[in-house]
Amino acid sequence: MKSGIGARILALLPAVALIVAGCANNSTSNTPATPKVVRVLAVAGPETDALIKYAPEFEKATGITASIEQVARPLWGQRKVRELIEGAALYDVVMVGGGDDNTWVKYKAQVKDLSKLLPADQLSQVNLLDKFKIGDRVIGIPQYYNFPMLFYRKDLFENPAEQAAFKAKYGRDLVPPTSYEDMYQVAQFFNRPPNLYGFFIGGVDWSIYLDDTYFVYGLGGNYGDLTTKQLTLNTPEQKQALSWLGKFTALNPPGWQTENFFDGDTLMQNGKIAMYQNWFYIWKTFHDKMPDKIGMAPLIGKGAHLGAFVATIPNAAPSPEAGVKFIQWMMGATYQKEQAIETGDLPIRKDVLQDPDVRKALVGIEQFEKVLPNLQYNQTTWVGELSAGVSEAIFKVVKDGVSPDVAADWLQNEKFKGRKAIE
Amino acid sequence: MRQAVRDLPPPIAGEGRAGGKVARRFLPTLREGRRARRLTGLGLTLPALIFVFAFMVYPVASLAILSFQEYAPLRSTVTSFAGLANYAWLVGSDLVHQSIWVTVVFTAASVAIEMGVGLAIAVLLAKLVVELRGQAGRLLTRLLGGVFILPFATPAIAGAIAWKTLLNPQFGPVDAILHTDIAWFAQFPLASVIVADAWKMTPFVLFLMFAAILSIEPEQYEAARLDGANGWQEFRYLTLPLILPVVAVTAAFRAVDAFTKIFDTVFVTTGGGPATDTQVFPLLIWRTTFDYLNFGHASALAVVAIIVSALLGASLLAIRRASST
Repeated sequence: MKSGIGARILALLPAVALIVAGCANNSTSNTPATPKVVRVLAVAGPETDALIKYAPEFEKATGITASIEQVARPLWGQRKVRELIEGAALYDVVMVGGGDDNTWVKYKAQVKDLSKLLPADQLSQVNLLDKFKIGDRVIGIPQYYNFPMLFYRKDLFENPAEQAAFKAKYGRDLVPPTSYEDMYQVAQFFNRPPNLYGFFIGGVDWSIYLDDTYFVYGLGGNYGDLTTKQLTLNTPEQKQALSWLGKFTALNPPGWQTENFFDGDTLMQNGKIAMYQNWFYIWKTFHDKMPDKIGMAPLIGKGAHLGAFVATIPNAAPSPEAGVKFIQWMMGATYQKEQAIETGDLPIRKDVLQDPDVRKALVGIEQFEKVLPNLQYNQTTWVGELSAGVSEAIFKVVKDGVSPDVAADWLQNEKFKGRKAIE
Repeated sequence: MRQAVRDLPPPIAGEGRAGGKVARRFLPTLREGRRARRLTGLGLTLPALIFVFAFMVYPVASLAILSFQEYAPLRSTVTSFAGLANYAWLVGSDLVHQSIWVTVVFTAASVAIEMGVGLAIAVLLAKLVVELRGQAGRLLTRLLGGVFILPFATPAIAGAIAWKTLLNPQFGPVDAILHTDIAWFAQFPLASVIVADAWKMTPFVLFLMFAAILSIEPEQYEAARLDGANGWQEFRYLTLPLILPVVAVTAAFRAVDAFTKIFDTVFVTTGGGPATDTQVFPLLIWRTTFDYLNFGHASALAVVAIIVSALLGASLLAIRRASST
């Protein structure tokens, strides 16, 4: 008898579920068309933390709930492609990377043209908007700007004994370097193992590829040509970059081959290296913890790798209008100011960049402003695979003793034979 | 229906005709009962079958199909039939060859270390258990057991981070104690990864061996001692032959596991480097999938991994079968 009642209750469950679902459908059909939720795909990190922290302001202003999903970096690549190429239609806003994703998003992604969806007065405030345009189409709006800088041991550079010794040896002042030759001399000068090493470059493939970009962009090169759509992996700039990487890695502390730039942060804080190049996210930490010990200077040369999350709206987004509202809030002056002060990243807006509070909070902003116009992005559509190949070529030079010219030719003519920059 | 079968009157001696009539009367009911039981069995198995099909057969079949297709969304959104092109790439790729070689060396070395060290500690631990009877002995055995299980219980990522910290040439305690500045993961990358993995997985082997040794009858050891066997002879001629089936199965199991699942330790400690010196097969599959987004190539690699895994698994079953006969 008991089991009979149980069975009847179980049998009733689907009916109850149907009634509930029916009620839910009715309730949605009665509400106006305003979207309730904006779904954002983002990657874990301080910038996304800032979005989440200030999202209640967006929710209060629009009545739209911001569902910001943070995924781990390794999963991000596939998710972005699922949304922007395969049209998975799970998210209204998809954050992509500025330096590595820009080209494929421009040429391959199914995204809304934001020039038609965002007010012109807001768009006119965005610094470097052209970087995110293909023709007249605006494919995304950056959330912030970040890029690599050169960090050096300020205490050593300002030490009178070191200055005198350097001048005696090289006949010039010990100052932050402005050419690769200068930087190499300084690195050699301070290379005093095992207590101090001249330079640091992380050898893990994704990290050493980033260092390669600093040299390649600094020398005026790139990995592809947007006009011819061909790869440019054995240009003179590429060969010089490989040559410099070979020289600078020789002044690295032991173990660099399996380390990355985060290890560089630790080495720098512990006084083990004289210089290294890294994203300026670390500047806030250095400045707060050891303001007299570490200094910062712009990277050498003509360009620096563009770092930004760029907000795009997939063509297949379930609620593109909610996505537009979210991006409008994100690029608004209020959030841009809050974010800059919170994270230490540069705001994307020209007016916020001049805000006294922001300028006060961002120590070294004058240095950042020097680099801002030079930001570059990888001009190929398949950076993941390319960067692994570049890493292989670098190790041919630094480990196997292959000449930079041969390694660059191998990359262009063997490893990626038949491939194009824009595929 | 079971009730109906149970209600059949028992056959009575001398009532053959009458019994036959009864049997004929109940025969259709019996057949219905069998069919109903079969249907019930099928109904009960169906959820499991659906589960197996949806989560095992379908993904593997999709993977196999994708391995004959070209699909790299950053190149083209069109999935096209590629024939054996992905397998041809695999056969001709130096990266794949190197990765397989690295994985084979890693598997052989780590399994050998785990089996050797695990077995040695298991023998010593078993001896301790037998000889140290009483409260103190039990306490010591439990303590040692707890200590030995720790590496196995530590999450792989946490263990790898611990090893990376221990062997850091600048700040690591190992170099500090040895007064060296050896960059273990850079100078001896594969050996360091093998040691880190062996540290984690040896307890697994140890406890299987330990259980196998304790299952041997103590009388057999007493008899061996009466015959004048020393410790080594006891191990060589008594313990080892009796636990050999467990040793073989454990080694085969670990080989399958090491070949197909080594990922976390390498990912954290060396990232597959320096260059591609420690790029094990699962890491290569992961990179081809998530970094290069070349799903055709990645599927072909994964199919090869499944085949290797199946071959090792089949050898494991063969060993089990051989040891049980």
